[in-house]
Amino acid sequence: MKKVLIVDDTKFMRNILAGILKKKDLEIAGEAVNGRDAIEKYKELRPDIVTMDIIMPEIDGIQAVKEIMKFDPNAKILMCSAMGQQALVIEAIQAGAKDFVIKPFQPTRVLEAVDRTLQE
Amino acid sequence: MNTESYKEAFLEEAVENINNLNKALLNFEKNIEDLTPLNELFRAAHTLKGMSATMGYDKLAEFTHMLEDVMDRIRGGTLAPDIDIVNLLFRSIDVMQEFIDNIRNQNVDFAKGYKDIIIQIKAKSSAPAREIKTAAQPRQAVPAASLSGETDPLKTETGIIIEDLILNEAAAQGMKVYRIKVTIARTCAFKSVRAFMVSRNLSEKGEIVKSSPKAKDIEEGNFDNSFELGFVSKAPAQEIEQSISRIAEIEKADIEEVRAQKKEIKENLKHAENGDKEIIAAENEKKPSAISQSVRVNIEKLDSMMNLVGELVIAKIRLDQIARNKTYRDLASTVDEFDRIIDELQIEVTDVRMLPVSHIFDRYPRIVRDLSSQAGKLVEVEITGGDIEIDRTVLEEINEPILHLVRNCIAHGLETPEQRENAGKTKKGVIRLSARRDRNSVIIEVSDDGRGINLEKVRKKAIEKKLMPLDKLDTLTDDELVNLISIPGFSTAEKVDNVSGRGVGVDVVKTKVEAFGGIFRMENYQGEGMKSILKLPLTLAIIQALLVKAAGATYAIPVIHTIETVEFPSKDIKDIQARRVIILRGEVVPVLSLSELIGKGRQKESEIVNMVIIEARDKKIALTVDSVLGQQEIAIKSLGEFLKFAKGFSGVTILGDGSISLIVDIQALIESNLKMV
Repeated sequence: MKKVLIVDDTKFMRNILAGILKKKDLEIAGEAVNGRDAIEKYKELRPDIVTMDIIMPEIDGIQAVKEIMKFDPNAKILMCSAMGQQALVIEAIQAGAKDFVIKPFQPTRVLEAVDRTLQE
Repeated sequence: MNTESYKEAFLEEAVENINNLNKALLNFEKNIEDLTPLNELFRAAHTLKGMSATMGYDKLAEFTHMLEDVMDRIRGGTLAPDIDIVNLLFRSIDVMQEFIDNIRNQNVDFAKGYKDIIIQIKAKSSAPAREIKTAAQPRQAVPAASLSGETDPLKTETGIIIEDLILNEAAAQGMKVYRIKVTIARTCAFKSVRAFMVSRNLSEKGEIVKSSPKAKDIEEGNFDNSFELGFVSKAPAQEIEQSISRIAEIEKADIEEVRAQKKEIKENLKHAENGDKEIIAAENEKKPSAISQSVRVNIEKLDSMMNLVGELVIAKIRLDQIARNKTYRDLASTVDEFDRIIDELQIEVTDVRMLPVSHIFDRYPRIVRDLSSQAGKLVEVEITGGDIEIDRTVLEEINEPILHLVRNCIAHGLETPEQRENAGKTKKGVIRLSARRDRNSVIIEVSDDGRGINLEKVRKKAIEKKLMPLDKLDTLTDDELVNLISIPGFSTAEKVDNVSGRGVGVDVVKTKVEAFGGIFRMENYQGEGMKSILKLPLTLAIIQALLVKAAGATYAIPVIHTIETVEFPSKDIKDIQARRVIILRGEVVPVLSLSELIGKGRQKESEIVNMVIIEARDKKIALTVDSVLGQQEIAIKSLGEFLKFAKGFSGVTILGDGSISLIVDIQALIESNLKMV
């Protein structure tokens, strides 16, 4: 079973994502509440894929992508963006993120993005 | 998505974010020059927007989106904040709270006046609200068109012409020239990002030499759902096709090799319809429910669990006693193990019910801001011990009393800035909210540095309202005098006002606190302020109690009310003005008999009298008992319908030997026998 690390500063969004991901035989290896937490948990858990929120306290999602890619150039990170954040998503993809999904989440789209990212 | 199962989580985190908004806005208001709190404001609004859109609360999402924009613009420097905007933002937070209340109580996504606020805020900010989209650093701005999807279909109809120059040059280098038409899914919200990913993937395999529409328009998303590229590469068409179609939301990539002859491509693209609108509609469709990681439990189920743990504790105590008299092999160690597990279980279950007091404390800076400005006073709130945890039932119950005390501080305790200055104080008054643990209770204090309570006024009022005979009034200490305020019907407020309301007064607070076994007391510092102290039980279900014997039966006295136990020679009990008292370390303490209080008459006393010194009605009382059995934890059971008339007892518990013991409600007992004190 592939391991997922969910990164979002709200429990609500983490729960929603976990609910979607669990339908696809994915193991929620852990959850992180900000960028700093994400970097630490990535190193500790070595997940197969990370879902990464962008706007978060302390260290934002883009900075976290940069740090994680530095640590593991093969990291597979899926950005979770709100509407209107095109520019930020592009920045994240330049930093190494593989794909993105947009909130409000569409479960089929999320699962498709996860599949696609895992196959990269 | 079936959102109903996430509603509780949504509501809880929404309230949290509203609290954060209030907190950050209060900080911002203190120093409008400092934009740091805006990051938090923006983030909280952004989070709320995302959550409400996910839940399908479109009006709330629209509202929070507008707020997010405003905060972003202030942060980005395109909107200068002033006091009007800050006030509008405060009102917006209230509107959000109303949204949440309405969603919670009536499942309606609406709040009164939310449109007005949007109009007012829009009027305040002259530029169109959606101009700036990105965070503090000047990142690439995305123009409004990419969001609203107002594209000019003519732009994409042009097609691309690849000049012979390019074709010849490519041929000379052994490269092929392709015309690629990329079609992006209509539901894609960020076309520009997909286009960016296409161009990134292609760049790994060759050079993009042409585009339609222009590169800038593609970058900004100013196209319908397809665009065309001229591409020069050594790679075969199939490989290029693959590198594009592995990107999500790419519907198709049509690749055509262009040879050295002029050819124009004109595609009629009739899709003037916008994709953004569709995606929102699509996401709102009901989808099968998802399973969440954490489990939400109804508070009633928790109560029932707590009740069962209570039963277990009783069974444990019984088992202990039985085991003590038996010598079966391994019994003692098994019972010990059993004890340990039950203790842990009890701690765990109790813990689930605990909440930090910050849960209610954090609301106060905002409340105080509003109330103090109404009253024309300058007040700051200081909070300590917000992380102290207490049973959530207790916490919910004390919010009202605390609110009442805080209102009193503002209405009566704290002076106006001028009065304060004249008294040599800082213009700004302080209200302190503090919490701390004290053995099995939590002590919450509400204090201010105002003028304190005017004891002369209290005295006059007490005489006027005939609360007490004059001679008795004269014997009261200052502390006792202050606490007269908590006698029902007492109020020193001269007129009704908005802040403190009609002086239903401190007696309501006291009654409420005592209703669940707490203690309420006030301290006065003439001219320097006053302090209200609430001593509350950690939890309502299992408490520490002192077991005593009186009139042949066992009674449980909650430890929260006890100070110490003493053995006193009966000859040293004195009669003063027909009242029995003892002198305990220089202090005169009235003596009452438990047996008498519960209506069984005073028992004959032996030479040495056992006494429990209790704290009740703000004073110490020595309660005589036949013997003191010891302290243990007891699970409180209600007296039930049949026995609810039994005044003076707050419940009943089952002891280790299976017998039943009444739990003494000290406050009520003494109240009903007030004339005796």
